[in-house]
Amino acid sequence: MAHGHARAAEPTEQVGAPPSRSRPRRALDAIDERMGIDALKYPVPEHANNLGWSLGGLTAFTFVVLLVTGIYLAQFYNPMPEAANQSVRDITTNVWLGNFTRGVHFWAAQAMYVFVILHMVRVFFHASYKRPREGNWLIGVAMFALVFLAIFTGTVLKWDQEGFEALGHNIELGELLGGLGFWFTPDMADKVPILVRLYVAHAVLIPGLILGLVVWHALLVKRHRISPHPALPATSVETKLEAQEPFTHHIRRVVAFGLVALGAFGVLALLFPPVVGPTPVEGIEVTKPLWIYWWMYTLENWFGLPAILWGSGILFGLLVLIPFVDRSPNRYWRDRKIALVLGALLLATMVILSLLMLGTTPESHM
Amino acid sequence: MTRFMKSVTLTMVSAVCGVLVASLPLSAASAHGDDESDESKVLVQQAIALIVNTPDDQMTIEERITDALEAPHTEGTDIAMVKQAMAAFDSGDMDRTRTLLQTSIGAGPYLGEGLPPEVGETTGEPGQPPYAVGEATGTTIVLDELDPGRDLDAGNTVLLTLSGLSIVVGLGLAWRYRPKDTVHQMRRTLRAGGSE
Repeated sequence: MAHGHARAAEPTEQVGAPPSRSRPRRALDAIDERMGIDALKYPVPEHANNLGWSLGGLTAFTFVVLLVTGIYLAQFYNPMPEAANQSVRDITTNVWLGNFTRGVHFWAAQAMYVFVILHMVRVFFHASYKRPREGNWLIGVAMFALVFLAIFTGTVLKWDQEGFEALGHNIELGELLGGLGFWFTPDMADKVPILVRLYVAHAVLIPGLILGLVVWHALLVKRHRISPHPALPATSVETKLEAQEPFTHHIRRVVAFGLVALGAFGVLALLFPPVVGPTPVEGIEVTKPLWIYWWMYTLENWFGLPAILWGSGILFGLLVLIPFVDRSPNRYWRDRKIALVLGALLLATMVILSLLMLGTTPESHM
Repeated sequence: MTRFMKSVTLTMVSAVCGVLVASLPLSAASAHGDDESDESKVLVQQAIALIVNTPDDQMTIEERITDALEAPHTEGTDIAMVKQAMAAFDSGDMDRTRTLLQTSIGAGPYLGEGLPPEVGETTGEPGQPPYAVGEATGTTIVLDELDPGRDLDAGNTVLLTLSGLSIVVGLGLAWRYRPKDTVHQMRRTLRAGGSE
């Protein structure tokens, strides 16, 4: 019967208009037909393929790099406090490609943080968060917070003095928050090492949440379409001024940028591999955190531990408020000077606070 | 006042309120303070960690060893050995100081052969630390920092070459798949069309 069907289809292919397709093309089409990959070919404006508009995709690419390297590292990491630091040393010295994989994971995590910020700056500069994309901006802010948490938990996992001091801050802040911070304190499950719970958060909860939000984010981008470039008239696509490309071409260019990033992570991992600090001891504060937390560190040195809480509260509060405060339809930067000045001030404050950290020495706050 | 200025004002007010509300726990935190341990064992371990992390801060190291000698709770610590460590410290022999301090608290790694001990219980064997739970560090010996360094052996040279290749291929593909028109060109086309 199957042969009969095949024969019946042959004349259509020969007589019909479409030219004969190569075998790999036919195989790809067969997969497309069954897996629905064609759905990714929806049209997007040409400007979406610029580097600035590909930063979201580049962030997603980096997230995939982190998932792959993280899965490999998880095979050799032991989250019990007695063994955690030693298992990271084993990964660094005894596991095949362990040092390289850890280095790529370390640099990719920081790159993801930078890409998220650059993506948000791009969205802010072009006012892409305006109606009807306010919800998608909020999803982006939530993902930014999760990336922050992912890097924090990753810092603790290596279970050295720096990681342990970071955990100490986390616990103190959790206690300051009272009931809201219950999960962050060891009291919640006092028969389990808090390191194990943070490991579960780092390896399952946070990436799972990010993955879910990434899907939601991408579906909303498809539903609302890529935001128009504010320097072009909104009708530029309809008037054929701007060409349309399938979304798969956007993915293609994102992968190209991603290969550049991946190579850079590899070079950094080999030339600047991350160290493993001394095994942790309670009751001293002698290390400085990773650079992404430097602005919080300066605030803590000036105003004490709660400053970390209200500092990050203000940052994320402002990010959440942006689309509800800046509701004018203007998207072009010349028409949004006040918004841009305020945004630049926020960014400059974080940079200055971070740079101030360079001149400070660790002080005990716990 | 324009709608936008109203919005900016609202943001500012919200930010100030946020600061005020978030500042409330400040007094609670100030009371938290820097609780120093009264157990010799803990203080000895802190002294070792200070030697490893901040070896130049001699004053703090000396203070911590002195605190360990004067602490009211000396269980699990060989105070005579801590005194020897202090003498070694005074003579400037940091390696011997560290070794004596580690030995004074019977430091030895938990090797964990066989079944793990009950959670929250000791193994019952002399010299074995409790099974770490909560925020306990589980540290018995303070290890030095491990810096893998730049070891460009044959394997790493291959990885470096592959990474470089990835950058070159990525740049090539990004150039090949670049958009046909830049935004700048489209704007120029638009202006030219408008002037005709």
